[in-house]
Amino acid sequence: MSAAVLSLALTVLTAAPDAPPAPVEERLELLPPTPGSPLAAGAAVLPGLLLHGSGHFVLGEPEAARNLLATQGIGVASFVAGFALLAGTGAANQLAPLYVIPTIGGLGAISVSWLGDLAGSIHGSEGWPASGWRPEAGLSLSAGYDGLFASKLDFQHGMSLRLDWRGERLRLSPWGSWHPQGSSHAAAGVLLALQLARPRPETVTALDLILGVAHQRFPGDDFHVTTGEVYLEGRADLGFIARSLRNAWALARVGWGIDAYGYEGADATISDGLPLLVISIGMGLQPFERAGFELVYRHRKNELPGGMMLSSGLAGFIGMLQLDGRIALADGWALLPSVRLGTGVRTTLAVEARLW
Amino acid sequence: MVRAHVPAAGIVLLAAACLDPTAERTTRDLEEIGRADLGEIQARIEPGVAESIDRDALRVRFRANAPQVTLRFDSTASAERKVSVELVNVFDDLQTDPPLALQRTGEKRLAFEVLVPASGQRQLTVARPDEAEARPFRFAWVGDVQGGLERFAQVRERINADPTVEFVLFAGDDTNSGQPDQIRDFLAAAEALAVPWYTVIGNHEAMGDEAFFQRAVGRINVAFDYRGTRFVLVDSASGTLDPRVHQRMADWLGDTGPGLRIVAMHLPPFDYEGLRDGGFNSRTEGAKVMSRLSSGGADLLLSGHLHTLRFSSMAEVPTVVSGCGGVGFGMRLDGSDLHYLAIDVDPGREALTIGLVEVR
Repeated sequence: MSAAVLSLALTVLTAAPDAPPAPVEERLELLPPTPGSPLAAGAAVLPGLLLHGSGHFVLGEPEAARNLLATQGIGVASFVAGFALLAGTGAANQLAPLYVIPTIGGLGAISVSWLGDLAGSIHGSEGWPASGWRPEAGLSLSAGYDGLFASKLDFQHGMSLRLDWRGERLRLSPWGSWHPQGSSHAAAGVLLALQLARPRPETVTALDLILGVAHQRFPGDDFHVTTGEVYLEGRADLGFIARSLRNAWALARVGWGIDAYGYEGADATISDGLPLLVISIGMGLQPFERAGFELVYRHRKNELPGGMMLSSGLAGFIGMLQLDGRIALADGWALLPSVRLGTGVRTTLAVEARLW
Repeated sequence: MVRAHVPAAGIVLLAAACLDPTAERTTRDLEEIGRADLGEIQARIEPGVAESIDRDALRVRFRANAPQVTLRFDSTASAERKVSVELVNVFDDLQTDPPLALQRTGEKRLAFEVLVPASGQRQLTVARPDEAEARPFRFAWVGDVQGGLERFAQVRERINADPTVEFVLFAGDDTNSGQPDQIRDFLAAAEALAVPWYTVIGNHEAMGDEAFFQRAVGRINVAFDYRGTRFVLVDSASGTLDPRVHQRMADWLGDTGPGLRIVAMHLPPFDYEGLRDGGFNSRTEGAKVMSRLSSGGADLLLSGHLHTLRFSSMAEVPTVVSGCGGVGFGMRLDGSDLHYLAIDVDPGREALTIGLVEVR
């Protein structure tokens, strides 16, 4: 769900009939901050699971409550529309983007409105510390452990490395990973990002166009895959929904890609191509001055560890869940833990050093 | 503020607990299905399932999950015992090796008695007399029925009208939600086929009472040779293969044996059209499976799950997704509707011809 769509919806919902109101955030600034409370947190769970914004209503933040409820409504409408198209067409492949994007986007908006209600109810309306995810120019290097467990692929412990150069509007990130155990796996790639918009530099809000290329080799299983993809990535500060969510953010990615598989077991190398719909939705916040996290659902199955197996009824349809952390250590150093849940669990723990 | 992490941690733990839904049913498939405890005698069919057991009368009814089955009886009794066996879902012209007197008890059913020595073992194979002969034959592939039994009845009528079809393979998703009454209804509908039938398990069975399905229908990971062709049926119902099934499939394909090899599974490793991405949970695992099929000389991969008809090729293995064997919730926009595939196999020429039979 894009920030623009949400802003438009909220503007409609909160418009006064006789005079143009001040922007939501300006008006909210005038109110004294409300501390979080267990009662509000409880209300965010019940009835908040069904009626998003309940926690903020109990907290004494009726406008935020209304905005969260509106976000849930938009999410539900989007999900229902997408799912109806899916069911109505029998999941026709030709229309896949038209039902997958609204279905996943709708679930994203629903998740953001509920998690936002819960987080704000616990924390209060003060907002969160500034995020470590804000793009800043510089060069950094991260290296660390990379493990894959409970997977159907026979390798576990490995390592990963990433260089990240960020200029005024460009970002270039070459990376690699290696799992020498068992049937072994090696991967390398590069990601190039062009910043299209960054309306509020003091926040994470930004829109990037990203090009990615990755090559993975599975020598023990006699195949390799090269992936090319292009997508839009947007992060939006959620302060426009509720002041309790200032510096918390929503994430969305949408784009297209292709996997080219090569098999080496037969007489000659064989190649096949499979297109890929790139969709991710997520939310992040910085609960502490020096530590934050981002939880993202990535609707893709081509990266390790693949998609989740939550239920056989949904077999083959679900992507992976990724939880990334960022813990600032001394100046220029950070710890980057990450967990991906899919067909197995992939965990990484890297140390990032800012080179300049 | 730490409590803000609780929902995320909860989601993580919930997902971790559900990481592998295949383990339990694979263990059941490999260690339970096909065994009958008759007290002093342990009986086993490979591949198949014990449908009913009468310990007092030493009577067992087995369902065969392949054209050729092996029966084994292990006795701890102090004297010779006579076990009454009924085999269902079999060809009418079966013979046993060593030879026994067979009695036909109904359509696709026969009975015989086996003398099991005291504290000893008895083993016999049951097969068609010319089954090992590599000669052309036809079988039918029926896609997802998924509770559409009235539509399936039309498919069945067409198959029964074709005397050249020697057996039927179902693609899985035989029922709507894998509940016992649905499984019984499907069994009754499939039993009305004039020829033996076998099935892989679908995700709609796996999300229901999968144990009931396994105990009623039988093995879900099976390999058999028929007239010079190897058939490998594996359980991909959860969008993945259990590691033991990965290994078995590799063994079955790596084994010396017939040159012509046909593999069947419910979910295809890949959704060959891509953007919908309805294949395995992990494309990487899908590629691993295709790599094994390719190096194992698979000549055809049959799948269902997607309610469509799609011919493709991955890793130089011809692949067919055919998933409209009765389901009412069919694909739109691609023209596919109720159908089955009549597949002609010529082991001598190592040739396969796939005929589409549209049922209107």
